[in-house]
Amino acid sequence: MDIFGEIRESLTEILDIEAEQVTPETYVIRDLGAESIDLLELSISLNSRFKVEINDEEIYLKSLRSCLNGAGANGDAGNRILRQFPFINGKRAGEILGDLEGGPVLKVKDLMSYVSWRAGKNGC
Amino acid sequence: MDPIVIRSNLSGFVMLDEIVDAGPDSIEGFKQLDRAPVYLGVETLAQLGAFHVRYLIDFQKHAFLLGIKSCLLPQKGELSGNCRLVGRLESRSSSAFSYRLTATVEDEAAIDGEFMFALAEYGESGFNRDILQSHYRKVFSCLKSG
Repeated sequence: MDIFGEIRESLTEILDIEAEQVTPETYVIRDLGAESIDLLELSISLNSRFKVEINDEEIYLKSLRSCLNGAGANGDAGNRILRQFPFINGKRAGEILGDLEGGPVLKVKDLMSYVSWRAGKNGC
Repeated sequence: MDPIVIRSNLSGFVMLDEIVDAGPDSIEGFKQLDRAPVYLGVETLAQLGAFHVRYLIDFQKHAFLLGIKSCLLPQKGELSGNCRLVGRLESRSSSAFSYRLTATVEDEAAIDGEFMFALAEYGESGFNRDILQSHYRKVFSCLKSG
């Protein structure tokens, strides 16, 4: 199974939802209603499935808003995201900045990016 | 309002007699049980797992039971005898941990489950660092030295 398939399986098991509800563009918290306790269980599941280190602060973008505090409008905000979350690419950083008003921005594709990034660091 | 005092007659409700081994991904302990209800056996395993989590992070945060994913319980309603407790860390993140925890009473498998634990900063939800950190260090040290 590919990374998306494994993450979808974890999410459907933990949140007791249908697989059809989960796509790479799905918001983990906004759409699926994942709570902090669910995210902790998801971390365990991802570590078990992919054998990569999971840092809960990073993978769930927990420090996103604090890292943007005081950022100017000259592109500094995007650079801060890229520095803080190395698994996020420039395009996704732009999406995130345009989406902050809507609530928690974490999407399934961010989890996929994190796992790929970690696997790459592990030399997998 | 006057505070409510609950007397359990249990010393700190420590359900472990001894921790004989603690390593990076496993822990082992013992508890002498005498006609203990099964739920106390489950509590004993939960305490063993939580102690291992605290040991791994050098007691820097509070550890609590997040949930039990699965657990096989004995047919008998009570546990009696020398209970060997073994925990094996199966997977983890920076703040969540999953263990396979087993209890064997008089060489007979009694409880076998998958327990999840998580961390919270001291200071959150009333977890007082000054009291709890030193308390857990002291209890762990006592259990390790028998």
